[in-house]
Amino acid sequence: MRGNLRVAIADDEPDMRDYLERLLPRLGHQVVASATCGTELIANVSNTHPDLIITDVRMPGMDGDTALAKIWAGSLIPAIVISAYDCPRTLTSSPSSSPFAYINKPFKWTDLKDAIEAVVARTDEMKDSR
Amino acid sequence: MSFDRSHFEYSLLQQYVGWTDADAGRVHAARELILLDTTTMVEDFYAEILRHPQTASIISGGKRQVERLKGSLRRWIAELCSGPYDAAYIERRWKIGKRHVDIGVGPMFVIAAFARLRYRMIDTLRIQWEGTTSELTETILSLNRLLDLDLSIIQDSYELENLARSEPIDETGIRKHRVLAEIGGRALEGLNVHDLFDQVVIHVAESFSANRCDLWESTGVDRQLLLRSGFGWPVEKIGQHTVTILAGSEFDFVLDHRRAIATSDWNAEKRFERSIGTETEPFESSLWVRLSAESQHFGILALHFREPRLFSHADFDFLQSVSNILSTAVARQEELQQRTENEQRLRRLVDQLPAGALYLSNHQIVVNSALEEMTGFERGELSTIEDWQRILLRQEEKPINGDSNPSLDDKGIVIHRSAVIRRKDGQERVLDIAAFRSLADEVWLLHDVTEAEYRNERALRAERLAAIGQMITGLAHESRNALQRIRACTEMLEFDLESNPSAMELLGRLGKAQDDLRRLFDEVRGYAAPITLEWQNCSVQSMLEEAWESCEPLRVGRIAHMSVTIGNAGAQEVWVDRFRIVQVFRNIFENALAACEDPAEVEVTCLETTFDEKTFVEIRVADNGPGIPPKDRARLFEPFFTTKAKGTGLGMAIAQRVIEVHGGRISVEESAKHGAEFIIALPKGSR
Repeated sequence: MRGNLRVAIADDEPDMRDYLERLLPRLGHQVVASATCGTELIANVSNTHPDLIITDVRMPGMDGDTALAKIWAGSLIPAIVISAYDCPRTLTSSPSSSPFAYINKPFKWTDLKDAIEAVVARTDEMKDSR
Repeated sequence: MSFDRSHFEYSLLQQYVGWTDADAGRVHAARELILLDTTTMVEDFYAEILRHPQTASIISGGKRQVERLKGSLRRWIAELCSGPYDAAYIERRWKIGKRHVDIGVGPMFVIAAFARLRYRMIDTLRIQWEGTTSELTETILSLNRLLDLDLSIIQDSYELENLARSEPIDETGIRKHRVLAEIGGRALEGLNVHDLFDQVVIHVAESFSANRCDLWESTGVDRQLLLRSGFGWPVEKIGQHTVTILAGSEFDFVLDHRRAIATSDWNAEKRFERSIGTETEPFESSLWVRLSAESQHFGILALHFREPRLFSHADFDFLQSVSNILSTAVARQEELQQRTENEQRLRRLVDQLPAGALYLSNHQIVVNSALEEMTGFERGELSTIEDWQRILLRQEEKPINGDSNPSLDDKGIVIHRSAVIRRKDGQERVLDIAAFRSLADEVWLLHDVTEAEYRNERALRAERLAAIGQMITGLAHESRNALQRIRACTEMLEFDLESNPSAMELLGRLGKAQDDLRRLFDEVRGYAAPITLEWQNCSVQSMLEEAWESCEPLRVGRIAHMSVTIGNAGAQEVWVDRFRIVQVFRNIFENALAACEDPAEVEVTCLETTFDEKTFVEIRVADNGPGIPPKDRARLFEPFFTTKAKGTGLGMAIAQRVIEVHGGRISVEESAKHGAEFIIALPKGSR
């Protein structure tokens, strides 16, 4: 998996959706779907089959975690979770083999760029090892 | 002295009998007549003396002495008639009196002798007189006056001399009084009774001229006596030799009698069977007295003589007095011992009490060992209540005995209070004081409740933090969302304004303000939010090194060194949340680096130690910076306390919190190099 990813995003904050929609193209990726809750995200993913999911955790209705679990039950699409809560230390400190990253709010665009690259690298590794 | 007195009295006597120069003149004028018959007079005088056996016995020196005495008498008569009646004359008469004492010529005999001489002289005068009768009468009167004066001085001298010489006659009586005074004096001085016994046997034996004197002491074994002290005994027997009191023996008898007992002649009287063990020499007479204190017999004092001897009442009384003195001394020593033992027990009770004790009377205080340890000051440094207030209490503290108690009466009252004291090492301790206060004095019982206070405080703080923590966690989460939106918008602005440098610079500042706000929220949350620990066994050294490594950005371009000394094997590892403890070390290192000038030296020493029956690893982090003033030391761990221009002032508060949730504690003192020294004690827990 190389640059120019097709990305599905989910956040209940319009400011954040706006931000991601403007930032990701600058990083060379394409936002294929934008959701305001988990339910919407699931629908978008099944419609667009994105390369990457970027989602907030806390959202009205279904939250990001639940939505991801449902999606991953079908296919393991790489994902970046953005949360105002601290990531459980077990996730950050132990080297994870899953195509998954966790970013704490507030973050800078460089943090997101690094996270995307890390997830891409890990996905490639997993494909190679298969 | 006596002669001077006599000289003075002689002048008085001269006036009294009306002796004048005219008398002297008349005697002088008649001297030829008086002296004419001297030889006859002297011969007649001694012939008379030698005629009577009583007076003859005085003269022990035979004819030669008689001749010498006749010469003396002739000289006396010649001086009597011619004078001069001066001091030398009186002195010569004075000597005659003393001489009479020497040879045993009593006053009665001298008066008689004078009468005989007087008669011979007057008779001679009358026979030979050639003048008028009235002149003869005058001369006889003058001669009589002179003879009376001579007689009075001789007699006076005799009496005084006799008195002076008669004193030593009762020398043994005096010696006994001296012995009583000596023994009594020693007993009063508090001489150990066994030493007193040793002195008694010597003194008593000497005053009686006894051949042996023994002091037997009860051994505690029934009817057994030990020779405690002895005079005239072989040295090796003293303190070793014992006797058994047999029925019918002298000891048996003596112990039954309060008064002294004697036998003047063992063989003739056969009063007692001699006790076995005392019969080493054939004594003929003995004297005993029992010794008792507080109606308990404790021994016998005995005297022995090789000859039969009659004892006087004075002897019995004397021995009784010695016994009384010894009884008093023994009773006194026993009482003293009892008192000393009681005092020691009481002193030990107070001194070994596992709580501080203080006695206050008339401003003077006495403290026990526990209180010395509590305060760090020795007894000598705290001797008055003013010392206590000045040295230990902070100035704003109210003096402990300052409050008045109108209800105070003889029964006293108990007052409870607590006080914060400053120990000698600068540490502050909280003492709980229960003071019993009476009109005369005060007794305090003190407990160091610092630990309990500390635990209380910590529990309160934890409770408060839990409440704040919940609120802060919510606040921090919501603020993160808001901050994220600000960040997102700022970055979008940056995308649009990339070509405008001054706008970009402002956006940079905005970004920095957001970072600061974020850090502040994170720290507040770190301090207040509930902490969950992930326990593991960690090497102390590696945690310290990791923390030091993480300070690398602060050390760029600086000379800074950190050393670790692990004092004992137990200090190598601790059971902690590694991440949190490294955070604490890092915080301390950051502070040290900020405070120290180059070269910055951070020395860490780790030691396993036991406190309150728990094992701790004590980690001391000392730097060579300017140190922390005592007034700031306690406040250092308060949230938002900071001496730095930058920083939230939460670093050390968080460090304290982290250490406390580990069950440990953190404090700060002055390091050996006068810098700051952080002391972290972590419990040596197990998994």
